[in-house]
Parts: sequence; C-alpha cells; structure tokens
Amino acid sequence: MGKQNGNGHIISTRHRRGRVGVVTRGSLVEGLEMKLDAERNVEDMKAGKFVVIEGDKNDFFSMVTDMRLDATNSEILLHPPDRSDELLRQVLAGTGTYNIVSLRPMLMMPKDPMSRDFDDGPRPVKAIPSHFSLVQEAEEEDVTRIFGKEGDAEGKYFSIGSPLDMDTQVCIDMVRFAERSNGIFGKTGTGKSFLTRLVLSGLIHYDRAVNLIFDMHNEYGWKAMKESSGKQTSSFVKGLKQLFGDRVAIFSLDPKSTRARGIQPDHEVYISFDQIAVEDIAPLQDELKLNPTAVESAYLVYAIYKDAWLRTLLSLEGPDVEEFAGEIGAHAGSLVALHRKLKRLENFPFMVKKMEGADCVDRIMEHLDAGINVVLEFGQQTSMLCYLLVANVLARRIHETYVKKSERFYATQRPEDKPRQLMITIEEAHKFLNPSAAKQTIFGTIAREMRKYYVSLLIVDQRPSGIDDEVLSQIGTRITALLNDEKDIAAVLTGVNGTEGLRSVLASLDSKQQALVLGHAVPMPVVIKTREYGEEFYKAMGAESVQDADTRREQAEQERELLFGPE
Amino acid sequence: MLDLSAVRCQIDSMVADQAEVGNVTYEERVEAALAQLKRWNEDWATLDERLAQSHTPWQTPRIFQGPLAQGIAPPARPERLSVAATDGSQIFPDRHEVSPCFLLNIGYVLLHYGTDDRPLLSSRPTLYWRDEDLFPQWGGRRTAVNRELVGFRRSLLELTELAELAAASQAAGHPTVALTDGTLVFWGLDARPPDFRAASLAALCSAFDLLQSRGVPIAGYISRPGSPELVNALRVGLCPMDEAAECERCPWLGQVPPCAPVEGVSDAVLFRRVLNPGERSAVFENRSRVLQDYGAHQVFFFYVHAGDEVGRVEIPRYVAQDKDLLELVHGTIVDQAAKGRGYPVSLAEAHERAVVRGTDREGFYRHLEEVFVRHDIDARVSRKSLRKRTVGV
Amino acid sequence: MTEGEVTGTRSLESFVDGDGRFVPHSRAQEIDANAAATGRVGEVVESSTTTLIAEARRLHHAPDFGAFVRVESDGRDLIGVVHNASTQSSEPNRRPMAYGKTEAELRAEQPQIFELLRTQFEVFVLGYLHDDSMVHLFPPQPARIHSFVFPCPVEQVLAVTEDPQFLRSLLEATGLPTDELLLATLRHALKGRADEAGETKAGQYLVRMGAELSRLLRDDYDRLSSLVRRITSWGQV
Repeated sequence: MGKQNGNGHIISTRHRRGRVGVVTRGSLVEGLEMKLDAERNVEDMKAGKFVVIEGDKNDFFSMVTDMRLDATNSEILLHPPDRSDELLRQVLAGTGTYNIVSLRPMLMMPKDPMSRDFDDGPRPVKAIPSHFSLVQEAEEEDVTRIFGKEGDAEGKYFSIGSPLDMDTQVCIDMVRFAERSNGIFGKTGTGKSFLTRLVLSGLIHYDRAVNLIFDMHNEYGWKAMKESSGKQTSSFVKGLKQLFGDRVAIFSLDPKSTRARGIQPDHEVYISFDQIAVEDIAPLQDELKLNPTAVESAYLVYAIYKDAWLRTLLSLEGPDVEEFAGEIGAHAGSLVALHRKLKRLENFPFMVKKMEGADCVDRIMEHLDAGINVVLEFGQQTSMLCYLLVANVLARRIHETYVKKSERFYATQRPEDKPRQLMITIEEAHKFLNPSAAKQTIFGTIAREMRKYYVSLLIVDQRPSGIDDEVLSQIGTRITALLNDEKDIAAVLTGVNGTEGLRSVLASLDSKQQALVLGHAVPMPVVIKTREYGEEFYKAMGAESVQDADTRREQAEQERELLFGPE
Repeated sequence: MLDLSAVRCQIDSMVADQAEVGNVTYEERVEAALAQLKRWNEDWATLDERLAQSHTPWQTPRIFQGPLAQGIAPPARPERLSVAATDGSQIFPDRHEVSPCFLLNIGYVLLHYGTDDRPLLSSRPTLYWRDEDLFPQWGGRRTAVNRELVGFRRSLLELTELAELAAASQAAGHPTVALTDGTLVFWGLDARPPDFRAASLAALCSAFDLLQSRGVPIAGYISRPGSPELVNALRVGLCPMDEAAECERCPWLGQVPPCAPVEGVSDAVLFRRVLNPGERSAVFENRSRVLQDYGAHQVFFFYVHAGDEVGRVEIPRYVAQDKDLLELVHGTIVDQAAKGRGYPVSLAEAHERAVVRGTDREGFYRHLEEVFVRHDIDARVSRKSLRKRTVGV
Repeated sequence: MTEGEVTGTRSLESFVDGDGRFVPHSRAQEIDANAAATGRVGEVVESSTTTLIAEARRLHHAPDFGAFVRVESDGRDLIGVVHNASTQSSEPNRRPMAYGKTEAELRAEQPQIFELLRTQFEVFVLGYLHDDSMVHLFPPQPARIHSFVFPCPVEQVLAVTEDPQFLRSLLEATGLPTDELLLATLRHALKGRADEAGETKAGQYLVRMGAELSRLLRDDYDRLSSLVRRITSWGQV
C-alpha cells in the first residue's frame, strides 16, 4: 500500500481510518487550526487528544489544545434553530455552523522511509503542513512509533497509561527518566501517589535506578487505602514491598506505628543528636520560625563543640542558655530562641542521645549499594518539622557518600566502582525547594547538580509555583495531574520547549486518573489516562495476585491436612 | 384621412330625410308593416298569388310557406350532428407589389357534436399566378384580373369546397349540415359574360347537386340582413290595384302612394317584432334574376331570431321542400348561434381560419421579394407600395 | 384546387392543412396512441441555450412543476426542469373567455375551443447526459425546434440529482421562481430515494442537499432557514 515519490521509492501511505477534519489555518509559532468534519461530534474532541496531521511529506503528531464554535453568518446565531428543527441543524452543521479545533503539532516524521531523516524517528516540528491537509485520529502504530512499546529489547520503555480515548500504551523512556530529576504534580486528591507508585514500580521493575523514598504518609511501603473501591476486590492497593518483595526494604522512624499496621519494618531508624549538623537546621528556619541570627548562633556553638553542639545546647536549661550565649559570644536572645525551638527535637522518639547499633545512614547505603530500594516510613511522625529534619539529615549524608563514590569512580574508571543511579523521592517538595530553602537544602544542591553524582530527585508536590525556578528548570520529566492555579500551571511548564497551548489542556484534565506527561522522558507532551494500578499491574510487575495468594493458601492448607490430618 | 366631423351633419340630414318620407316616423312604419304582416298571416297564399302577378321595380319574393306573422319554434338539435362551414379570404392582385399574383385562402371547419371526435379546423391557400388566372379570357376578351373577379372566384370556391367538405364528412359517417356565410345568390353573375356565367353556375350547381344527392342540407347565413324583400311584398299587398301591382302604371306618381307607409323598414326589423329567440319565419322564395340560371336549385330563404339579432338564412329548394332538412337547418343555425353568442360559431371559426391579416399580407409580399431576389428576378416594387409600407414622419 | 365541378370523392384527410394538426377522429386516436406509447410529453417550439419552451402533447397535460425532463436533440439528451406551464389560445388575437360550463359540457358543445388552446411549458436546462452520467454544463448547442420532450425515469432523476450542482444552477438563473422550483425539484428528487431503504436514505439526501444550500445561501440565512423549514414540513404531509 505505497505510492512512489520522486525518487521512485515507495512511500508508506498507510491509510488511517479515523478522519477528523482538515487543516485550515495557523502558523508554526501559534499552532494550527482545523475544521472539524461535519460528521464528527465536537464533543469527541477533548483537550489533550492525540491526532496525526498527514502532510505531503511528513506526518505531524499533534495534540488538541482548544475547540471553538463558529458560524458564517451572525444571523444564524441571532435566530438559532429550535430543538425540533432537526433538519436545519444538520444542514447547518459544517456549512453555516462549524467547529474549529486548535492543534499543536509536537513532532514531525517523514513519510518516505528512504528519506535520510527517516531513521532519526520523530523530530521537533520545524515545518507546517499545507492547507487542507487531512487530520486523522492517531492509531496504535503512531503511538508506538513515538513512545515505544513495553517489552522492547533494551527494556527501556515502561507503560504509564494510554492516550485519551485510545487503548494503546504510552511509554516513558526509563533510561532518560532516571537520568534526571523528575516531578509529579497535581492538586490534592488527583492521584499523585498512584502516579508515584507507578513510576517507582517501573524504575524498580526495570532496574533503572535504586530508590530512596521518604514516605511521609506511609503510602508506598505496604498497602495503602484507595479512595474508592471500584472494581477491586479490596479497597487497599499493594505497596512496593508487596510488589517487589526482597527488592524493597522498609525502614521506619516509628516502628510501633508500622507494626500496628501489620508490617514488620526491616530496620528501625534512630538519629542521634550528634548526627545533626548546623546545615540541617538551616532549612528548618521557616518551620521553626527562626531568624537568621539563630543559625549564626548555632554555628558559634558548633565552632566550639563540633559534632556535639546540639547535644550540648539542648543539655542546657533556662538561664544557662543566656549565660552560654555570653560565653561563646552569641546573641543571647537568638540563642535562647534557638534553644527553645530546638528543644522540640527531644520529643521525637527516634532522636537518641547516643547511637546504638549501626548508623542508619550506613545501613541505608548498604541497601542501596546492593540495589535494594529503601522506603523510609514516618509512621505517626508526620509533622513537617520531623519530615524536613529527617529528610535533610539523611539526604545530606547520603549525598556526601555518593559524591565520594563518584569521584572515586571518575578516578579509577573501574566498572565495579560505578555508583548505582539513585533517585530520592520527596513529597511536599515546595517546603524543601522554595526559593529561599532551595539555596540551603541539600535537595536544591542535588537538583542543580543533575546527574553528576548519580543522584536525582523525584519530587511530588501540589504547589509547584512554590518551587524555585532554577530548580524547576532542572526537572527533566514532569507528570502532572489536574492543576487549577495559573501560577502552578505556569511553573509546571517552565523550562520545557513547545508548551504553548498546554495550559488549557492542563486545566481541563479529569480530577482523577488523567495526567499530562512532558519533558525529557517523552518525545512529546501527551495526555494519558493513567495505567490501572490493580491486579493486572501487579501481575505485570511479577507480583502475586490475591487469587494466587488464596490459591496458595488453600493448597498449603490441603498439604498440611494431608501431612498432619484435619484439625 | 377622413374628416368625420365634416360628414356628420350630412349624415344627420340623410337620416332625417329617410325617416320622414311620407311624414311618418320610422316607428310608425314598423307598426304599419307589422299590421300588414298580421293581415296576411293566414291568407298568405293570396298575397303570394298577387306577388306572382305583380311587376315592381323593387325585388319581391314569393311566399313558399306561411304563416306570415308567427314564429315557428326550433326543433331540438339531434344528438349527433356535424356542422361543416367554410369561409374565404384573399390577397388581391396589386400591381404596385413585386408580383401581380393573387391568393385565395379558404378556411374549413368541421365540428362534431354528440361524439368526442376532434373538430377539423384548417385552411388552405392557393396562389394564382398563371397567365390564364392573371389574364382570364371571358366573353372573347382577355382582361387583367380585378378585385371583383377575384371575389367571384373566392365565393365560388367557398361553396364548392364546402360541398366537398360536407360530402366527405357525411361519407365518413357523420350526419352533416353545411353552412356558409353570406348569400347563395350570386347577384354579380348577371353582368358577367355568358361563358363566365355558365362556368360559374355549373360549378355552383354541381355543388348543390352533390349535397342534394347525399342528403346534406346547405344554408347561407346572412347577419344583419338589410333586405326589404318582404316589406316590399307587403307594399304589393297594400297596393289597391286590381289583381296585381304594376308600378309602371302607378296612378300615385308624384304623390305619396298607398304602399308608402311601410317603406323603409327592413325585413329584419320587422321580424324582430314577430320572432322570439330561436323562432323562424315563414319560408320565402328569392326571385333574383340571376336565379333563372340556377336551374333546379332555386334559392329560398327565411328569417330566424338568432338570439342577438334576426338573421337571414338562404337555402336551396331541396332543403326548403324537405321538412326534415328544413327543420334540421333551422335547429342547427339556432344552436350554432347560441354557441357563438349570437353568430353561428362554425362560421366565426371558419372566418378566423380564412382571414388574411395585414401582417400576413406583409409577410407574404416580403417572402416573395426575398425569393425573387434570390433567383435574380427583377424585384421591383412601385414607389406607391413602398410608401404604403413604411411611412416616415 | 380549382373551382369547377365537384366530385364528392375527397376524403376528410384532404382538408387537413400543412402542419397536419387536425386530423379525422380515427386517425387522431391512432396518432395519439402512438405518441402516448413513445412516452413523449411535448415538442420544443422555442429554444435557447438556457431554456426551452415546449408544447405539451396533450392539452392540460404539461409535466409537473419541478419535474425533470429529457429532450432528445442532435444525438444528445438534454436534461432540464419544468418551471412554467401555461395554457393559452394558440391564435394571437383570440383569448379564452368564460362560458360558465364544465369542461365536459364544453367538449360537447364547443369542441373547437380545445383546438384553439394549447398548453406550453418552459424548461430550464440543467445540462446533458454523457454516457448516462450528468454533465452540469449548458449544452454546446440548444435543443432543436421540434425535438421531443420526455419525462425522466426514476433512475435518471437519481443520477441527475446526485450531485448538488443542480441547486447552484437553479439559484444562479434569473427569471425563475427559484425557491419554489428548488423545493419542487427536491421533492421529485426524493421520490426515487424514499422508496429504497426507507427514510434514512431520503433523510441523508436532504441533509446533503441542505448543506449545499447552506453554502450557496451563506449570506441569506433567512432564506435558507425558510427553505429548510418547508422541507421539514414535508415529513408531515
């Protein structure tokens, strides 16, 4: 099914079947407009829908960004036909009244397999199709050609969902995903946790990175609640440990809470005061409402007491603090304030004066080196202060370790010295990465350093506008669920090319199970219906289904009866 | 251009003069005539005798069948009837035109009643250009044909064609009546040369012979007849002379004679008083001199109230003498006149078929010119004709 | 023909004039039956590139307003629609007048009237047939005078009306009762379509034609909506 071009080569002229309309006007910069065929219902055109414009030499893979109703004659609008004037409505459809759909071409691909550009695959759009080019619904082959297909030889494509109104897979390139920091955004309740679980499962399943997850709400380790039960047999969804078993370790800051939920943590995490550096206090300024001089005072304490500074400070009481301040030459008032606020740390059950057993960081590093993913549960310790403190402390230490390892690898160049790519997952990222904190926290540093030291971030947040612009621009891939706030939308689209027209798409996403994926890991922005996180997914990840588990249990029962007789 | 206003006064005098002959008004004359008619109503045979014997300078008829002053109701028209009619028109020879030829156009009408047969409405023109037509030789002399001669030929042609048409219709199974417009009496033949007369009458009589042999009646209808024949007969009736009126020996010369009171009234006016719509008068016999040569086919006549007017119907003897044929003619004419809103519709149609209008005439001569030119014949048109055609300002 | 002795042997046919219109009854019936068998409904008496006038074969039997007709002329089939039928006197100086009688009575009493009347109809030329498919262009030559006019059978109507071009031709012509004619031709066009596959085929056709009208009447929505509403009301008739 091909026709010959000027060179005598057979051009693939695959005839798509879902004709939608024809291109009528537009520009490269502003996007294209298409007139919807009269037979098509304008209600089928959704923002974010994937279509293909068939130009003469190229196919243009495009996204629907806007729809408009219009009429040739304002008379029609002044005297619109009645509901009962069915024939008049049908007659006017496409002639007097018509629908214009705005399209944003995202990628172009030559049609001629013999052209020298063909093997490069889809490329950014540099040209536009001519007038009246046909616009067709995208087909499975188109999606696969652009986004790849799961199960490829290199194992780099992971399906995260399907395009709007289609059944095919949309895959992200896991290699490129792991190379950079990434973000998962969306209003509260739009399913960011599910998206995060999906993505983490992909990373783990295809072994593209080892993950350290700061699980503030205890969602990722073991089972978590679904908001609605739907067709699932249980109202719980499986956590990473349930899916990947030994490849995931659960560390807990609050072992009691973890056990109360029926899970045995692999490790209990304790932090001694000596492990906390002044740099770890600085990011807590907003949370603790410290003024800058307080931090300086801390440094003064540190200057003298080094690692024991915090222990020393907290061992003081009342008026001793002022006195102490005088001793070290710190401002009394601020030191007192600092002391008072830092006292809160003593309340954390995981804070210990002295470390017994192995340093948790070392433990974590061991796991990560072995390729075991670590989920750090916070249990009941869900205060922001705790989260910020623990995340900063641990991340800083881990980052230090990674830097050393990387430098060593650069020196020796031996493959066994190569550090594993680490991805750190943090939620409420705007607390860590707001413009002021970004300069101070380790996460800002990690984000800016990109992959120099094999560490990247997976930030999950509902207020991306609160995140520092520079950090945002380093976010490689963004997976965004519904956002309303103009500023948030603008923030998500910062630093990515070709996002004109996506604002309306973002604002029109369903509040559940829909997301816009754009950035480094996908050739073009695409709206997806997120992959079902359920039995089929579990199977795909290699986990047992509930039925399987029941079957096994039954079988075990039978065998036991056989061996030991009935009870 | 005729200056009508200049003539009007003269017309008034003329009328006044006629109306006051004998110091009696017109209305009184009519009354008088009516009275006379009634007088002879029953006793018409006596009057007829008198008429036979009398010699008057004005024409009188014989009375064939009375009563005189009563109208005879028309019979019902038969279920099935066909009416054949012809009329004629002509383009007279005009030496101012490109050619001296002339043309006769005969219109044919055959209407069928009581069946759904379609009528025949047609016309046939004939062009006369041969020497013997343009310069006929009659009575030993060769003269250029003139309007009068053309008129004769036309009238004759109307009748002979009518006879053929009616005969053909009868032969095709239609009970037919033949009607013609105008008189059956060819007055003008009198003055013609004998061979002309003979030829014409032969044709005429053969037409009547044919129709008689087929049992088809023929009648001539005259609208607005002005003849005073019957009134003349009443004058004879008034004449006190013994046995017969001899106007040559009229003792009342120079005075108002006794026959004067009815003078000036026409038959039609008289019978208008007598006849009801549809009724006919008694039958009379015409005594024109020319009829002497008509042989067996003497012309009779009666008057009939055709609805709007009183018309005169002329019939050959074989019709007058046959009660059925006479009735048939009467009924047909009344029916035809009713259909034609006062004038027999078949005759009106025949006229329409036959008439040659000014534009037709123009077209005819123009075509002639073109053909002549095409054939390099000298197509000279006299200046007079040209003037007639396109008159400038 | 000369005046002379009459023979009494001539037939009625011999009195017929040049154009042979008026013939004796039996002949007339035979001719009429022959003509009826050919299916022709008229004969062209005036012709131009865009319109022609035909005289109906039978008085009062012009084709319906808006009907599609075919004229066989010069080896070509011209296709047009009937838009103006009239019955008048065939004599220039004579006009019909009222008699106060029914037609049956008139046929019995005044048969000559019907000879003097003729029914004519005007046809607007839409195009011509080329190998059974319709070419929507004026024909290279107008129809010849005295060509015969035939009604178009259903298949031909379907072929002619498939392309909405005929609507444009009608709208662009001057001197036509355009809106009425449009509606009438559409009704005729629907006949063949309504019978097959029921309502939907007819409905689809109307939408397609209506859409073309919408394009053509883009600046006159009032006229378009009035036309479409009238079409809609056919459904109730």
